[in-house]
Amino acid sequence: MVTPAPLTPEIFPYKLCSEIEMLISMDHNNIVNIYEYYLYRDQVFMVMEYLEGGELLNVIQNNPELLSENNIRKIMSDILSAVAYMHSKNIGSFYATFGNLECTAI
Amino acid sequence: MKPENLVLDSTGSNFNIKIIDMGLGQTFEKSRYLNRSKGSVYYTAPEQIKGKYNEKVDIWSCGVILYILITGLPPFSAFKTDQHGRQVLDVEEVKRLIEKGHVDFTDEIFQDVSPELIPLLKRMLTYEAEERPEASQLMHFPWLHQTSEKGHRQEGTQISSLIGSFQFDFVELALL
Repeated sequence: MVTPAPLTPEIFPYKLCSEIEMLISMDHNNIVNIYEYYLYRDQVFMVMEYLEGGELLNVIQNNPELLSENNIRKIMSDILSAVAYMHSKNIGSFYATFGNLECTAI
Repeated sequence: MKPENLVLDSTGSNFNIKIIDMGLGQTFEKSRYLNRSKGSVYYTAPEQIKGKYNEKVDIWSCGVILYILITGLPPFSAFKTDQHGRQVLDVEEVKRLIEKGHVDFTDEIFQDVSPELIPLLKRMLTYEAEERPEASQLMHFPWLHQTSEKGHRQEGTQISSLIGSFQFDFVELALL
């Protein structure tokens, strides 16, 4: 998946590059892999692992069995494991916002 | 952390959840507090509204996600009618409710799931950040290591349709 994101003057380019480097440095089964990235004019392109399953809340609407207790347990175990890993590396996800970084698959 | 950032890696039943775009996740120092508020109001922790917070807000937002997966609705929501007569999210009222921090666990939907699940949810939605456990501590929680027997919820048809209406009607209005 390739995702361009508009860049704002405050984060371009050094802060953004260091943040992307940080994402690339993360190695966890429940955090998407980012393989490489390019800067081109005012956009950044990231090459990410392809995830065929789709966004959780969208998938749930067509697959109510995902909301069985056993599946909720799997979902929460995965999320907590990723959060524990991120926090062990002193990375918080709380800064994340789709408003700032709009990702579009092309 | 919000569900929009959670993606399944496969369409089959052996899926893994992957966090995408933790976006520009922010590095933190353990004792330092941040004071920039970002993210959707539904997933906002009480201390985030007050303005001084740390990585414990991720635990709170994971608790909100768990609450939504169980009930189909966020624990804190409020709506008002706008000038065109449409129902819209009342962001200020949601913030007030979060600041009060009262979570309703009385809904009968909680009887569909194991009793061991509720203490985990309550721990994640602990009002005081200092008393809220870390993710690594929560991973030892008994419910995460058991398997549900028959009698517990096998699927959530009703809940998934609730999530559908909640997501499409209100989520974009919920951005701070």
